[in-house]
Amino acid sequence: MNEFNYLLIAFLLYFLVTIFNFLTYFFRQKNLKRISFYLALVGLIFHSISLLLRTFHSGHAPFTSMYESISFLAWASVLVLIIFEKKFGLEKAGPLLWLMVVALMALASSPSLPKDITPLVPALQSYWLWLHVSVTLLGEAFLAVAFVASLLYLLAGRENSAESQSRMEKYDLLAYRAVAVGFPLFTLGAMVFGMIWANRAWGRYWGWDPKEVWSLITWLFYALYLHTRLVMGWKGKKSALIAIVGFLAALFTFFGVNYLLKGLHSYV
Amino acid sequence: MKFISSLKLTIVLIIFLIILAVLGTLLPQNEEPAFYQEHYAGKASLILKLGLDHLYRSPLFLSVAFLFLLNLTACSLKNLLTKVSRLKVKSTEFKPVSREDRLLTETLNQVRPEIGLLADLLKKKSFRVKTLELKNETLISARKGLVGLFGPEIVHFGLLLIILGGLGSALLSYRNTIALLEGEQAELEGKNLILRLDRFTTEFYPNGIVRDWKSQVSILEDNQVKTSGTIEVNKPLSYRGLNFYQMSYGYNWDKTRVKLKIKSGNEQITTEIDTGQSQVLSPRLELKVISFVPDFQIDNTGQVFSRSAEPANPAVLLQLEEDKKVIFSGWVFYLHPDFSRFHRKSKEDLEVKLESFTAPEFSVLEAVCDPAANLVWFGCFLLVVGLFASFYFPYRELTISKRADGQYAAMSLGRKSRDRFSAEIGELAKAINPKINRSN
Repeated sequence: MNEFNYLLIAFLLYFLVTIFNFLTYFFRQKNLKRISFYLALVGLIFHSISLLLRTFHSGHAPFTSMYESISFLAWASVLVLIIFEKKFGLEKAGPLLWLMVVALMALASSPSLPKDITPLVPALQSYWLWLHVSVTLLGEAFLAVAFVASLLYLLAGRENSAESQSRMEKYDLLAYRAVAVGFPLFTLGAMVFGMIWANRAWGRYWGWDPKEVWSLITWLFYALYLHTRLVMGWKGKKSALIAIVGFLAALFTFFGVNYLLKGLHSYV
Repeated sequence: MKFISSLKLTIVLIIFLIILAVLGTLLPQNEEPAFYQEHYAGKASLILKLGLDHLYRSPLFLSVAFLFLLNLTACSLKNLLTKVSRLKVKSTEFKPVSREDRLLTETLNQVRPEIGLLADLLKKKSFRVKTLELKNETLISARKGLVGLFGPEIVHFGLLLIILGGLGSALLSYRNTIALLEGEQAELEGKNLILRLDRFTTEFYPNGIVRDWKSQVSILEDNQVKTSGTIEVNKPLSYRGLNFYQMSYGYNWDKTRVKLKIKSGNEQITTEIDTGQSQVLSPRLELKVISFVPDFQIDNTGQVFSRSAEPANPAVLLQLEEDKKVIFSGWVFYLHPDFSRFHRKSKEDLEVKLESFTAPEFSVLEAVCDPAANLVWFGCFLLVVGLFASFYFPYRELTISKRADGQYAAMSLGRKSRDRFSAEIGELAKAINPKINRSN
């Protein structure tokens, strides 16, 4: 079996987890919830095998092409969801969060993304590739959770029942927790490791390259989120909007910059 | 001072920085004024006046950054002083505010536990506990995650160093880009050092993609080789505070050696010749290669230029004389050997073909000395330590007061993990009075 087959099995398992999450959402079945948790774990194992095989065959870190990066982002997201489920319980946010994973997996496995193993250009041949990209994507997986939780907050806000109020509080808290864990990781991976690597490869740690600037923009949005929330006491709708725009900036950094703006980060 | 240290200013400045940063990625930077006049007709003068063509060095951006720096310093100092004063345990005559504080206060007043017992309970929950006897009350101060308390100040100090370091790098760093052919050397201005390229190789993957560039160099001081080494992308060479980076590579097309095939009737000559050289091919024939361009293009005025440094449309300009009379003059194309629009010939059966070409490869190296970068690295270290301390080891503080009249009051502080701290206080209340009903 090749690495792509393992990826497809993981995809199938995540798809089942999503269906189970929807069933739990509507029917409140505890057994289904437990089964879906274990299915997610098995899915993560298959996904890990896929990434390991890819690394083994290519001889480099599994995030140098769009296919690899999205697969790794999905893997990191599943890891984050499992941790959050175990630690706090995702509750009503589960279905949409898993839908996000399925969307990422669909994108990764779609034929439009080339799956060929391409050799590394000189600039990418560095162990900083491992550190910079893996920690950044792990941080972004947390920020993605905050994005979905914030979207759910805004959607739940349209109802006006006591139940929706308590649900909204939970989404708000989930989004904050995700940012609180993800922001330090994003800072370390994207900004600090990025600067160290840039200094080593190009002799300067900051060059106002569009990808660098957009990482900074993303970083500033989350700094805004944390300051307005922790110091000014903003909560709810305003916080949710910042978390959503912040993640859109992260998405633009990841996809948009490569396709729309010229720069040094043109390989991924 | 109040304005400079206000959080509202921070928020406004962050929003401004975001807007300017976005603008800088959407508006092409460092182009000639004519470019903006052509593409942004009505707004060109505004762009140029505000310096948006070099936005990140513009007075507008630097002013916002400077205000941000002031704000950051003022905020951090103010918060640091507040927090240091908070470290001293003192009576605050507080009233419980949050639901958990009220629950704990209520429980304490119901059970009225011994102070020693309370202290032990808190210690079991990994709090650092201090007990203080004051005039009218006994205070218990329990803290956890002290490093988290100063996390934001550590982060802000780190940012301060990064910005100052960045400024230092922009103003003081030494950068010298040097293009060298194999065997060439160049003096590093102001450094009394000579950089010599001993060997330059390009390695390819089987599919033709570049695998690596390797520049074997020597650094000379007073005509003596002080050090030698190989520079690769991601593997710079260091010598006396200077770092040497592999930046780029290229071909010196002015020194291209071309292989030409000249056919006239039954006679055929193949020869190799360097650009700028003349060659006597036979007692009657003389060849002169005038210039070579890798990517032939012609502008409106009829001037030939190379569109890029890549060999996309290689062409050679040459002249052939027979008995001192020009019989062929003009451009010959490598990819279009039959294209005759750019040359003239006086003999119908004369054919000149560009068979191949080779140009010497040069390596582009950069010598960098940037001591201010160390400030940035230290700033980054503090930034990361501060962030992880803040959010992974959040500060929690619980103060319990037992007044002279026997009444208790509790107050908690833990902004960064309010929910978990609330749960912890609930557990504490339950430990004090197991019969407690949390919904009270």
